[in-house]
Amino acid sequence: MTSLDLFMDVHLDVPAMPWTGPVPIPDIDSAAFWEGLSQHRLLIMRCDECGFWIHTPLAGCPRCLSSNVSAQEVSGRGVIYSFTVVNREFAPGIKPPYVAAYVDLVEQDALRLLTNMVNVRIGDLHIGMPVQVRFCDIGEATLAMFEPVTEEK
Amino acid sequence: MTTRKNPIRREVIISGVGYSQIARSTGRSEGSLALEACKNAISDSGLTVDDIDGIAVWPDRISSVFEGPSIAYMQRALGLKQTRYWQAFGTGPAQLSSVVGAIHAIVSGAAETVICYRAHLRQEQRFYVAGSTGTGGMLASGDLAFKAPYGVPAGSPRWALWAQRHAYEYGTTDEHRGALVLTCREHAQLNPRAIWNGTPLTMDQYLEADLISSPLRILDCDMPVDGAVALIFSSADRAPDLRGKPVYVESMGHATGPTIDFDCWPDVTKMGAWYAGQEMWAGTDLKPKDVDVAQVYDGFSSLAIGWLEDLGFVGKGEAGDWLVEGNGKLGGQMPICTDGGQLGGGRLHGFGKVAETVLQLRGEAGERQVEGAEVALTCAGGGPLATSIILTL
Repeated sequence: MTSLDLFMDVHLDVPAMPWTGPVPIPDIDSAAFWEGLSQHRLLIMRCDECGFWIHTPLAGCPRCLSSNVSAQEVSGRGVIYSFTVVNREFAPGIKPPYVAAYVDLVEQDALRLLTNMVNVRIGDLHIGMPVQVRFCDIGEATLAMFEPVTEEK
Repeated sequence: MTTRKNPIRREVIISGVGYSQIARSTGRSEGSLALEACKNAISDSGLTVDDIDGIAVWPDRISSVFEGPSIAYMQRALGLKQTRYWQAFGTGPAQLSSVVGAIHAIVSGAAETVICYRAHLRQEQRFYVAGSTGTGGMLASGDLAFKAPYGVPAGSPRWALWAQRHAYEYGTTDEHRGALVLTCREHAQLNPRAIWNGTPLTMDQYLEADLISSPLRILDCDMPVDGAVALIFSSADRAPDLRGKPVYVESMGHATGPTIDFDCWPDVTKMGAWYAGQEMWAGTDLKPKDVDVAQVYDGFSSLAIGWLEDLGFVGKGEAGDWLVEGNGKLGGQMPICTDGGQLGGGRLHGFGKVAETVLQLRGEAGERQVEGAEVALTCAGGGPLATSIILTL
């Protein structure tokens, strides 16, 4: 039996290396996103015509149907929309406990990334918490994880 | 009052339902289980295999944990001679995609009698073995590239993310989800086929159950089983040829809103079920209050709560208290999951919902019969995925 209470004092660190979990494979639409992460920049697809932000990346804008989209850098700031403390190995090589979260970026309503929370005590997490991107190199790729906003940024 | 064109209304009947053996581990193949269910459904209908001129399946064998026997396998195994309609759904809005295809085929005249099946083998061993979760082993491409590396390839964490937000916005509690689980478990005691038949559950036991992905405990997740269910749909013209009472399709919703991607959905407190419900209710004069029995989808407890709210049986955020008050129990305002659901009966992935609905409307549900049931709701899906159907006598 494991209840949530037992996880409250767990501190979530950035992933230990070597990485044993799934590795993302970029495709044509997502190449700029993943390339940006490898440079520790959060690049999100945006419509060049109407300015709509698009994630996950698409080949065109779902709001105005323009084909002119490009990856542009965002602030990396957001808030937790939802999160879950996971107590099973759902993806091979990602060991529990970990926290999966939806983070809404500040640039646009519901501009949402599925991600993991790091550098935080589980008991301190809450929906609405301001967070910032934390780039985590996993060898062949870089993942965009999130941590609580720190004062100096 | 109907507000849209609904050409399927009372034009399609469910002519037969069949179950296979259902158990935690049968040692049998998916094909063996599916074949048993199909043969039972054919016997149940009073029709013969030669009456079947269509076969529809979701999902066809797609190398995931949700695979079943392929459509080609079953077409051959049943010895179908004159398949005029043949459709396998690789993806689509939920477990009843094949049922939607069958109904549309019959109304269009593409086929007269269509068989659908769903077979499962208990999956959890495969879920936790590297390379077997459908993530493509260590490489995650396409949509999965944005999910699997963060530990959310499928399954409980994605539902948990939706459930946690619902809890945040509407105050849904552990006891609310527990009330749903207990309702199902209580009903399972009245269904000899249910996997938890003979094993009652208390709220304390529920609250002590192992955490899987907060707020979901293991008892919030449906029970993996080996089992299959088959459903046969026919043109209403065949009603006189059936062994039992025909059950009519009144209205159906199969709509998902903006996407079928879980993680790109803007408001996770309103599931695809809401969109399916809008479509379904617009096609009938019946209202939520007219429904005598509802097999709301309970692959996870949180989904059943969402279905009750999104179909308008209760207001947003009200399902939890409604359940705690016992309204969903047999004898209550609108009994739900009367076969024990998937939480109490086993994961038959939506097909058990349809079969139980048919048994209830025919008056063949034994100890768990809702007396006088004439209007029933069946549905499947969760998150963005949704199919809902009103069935009547």
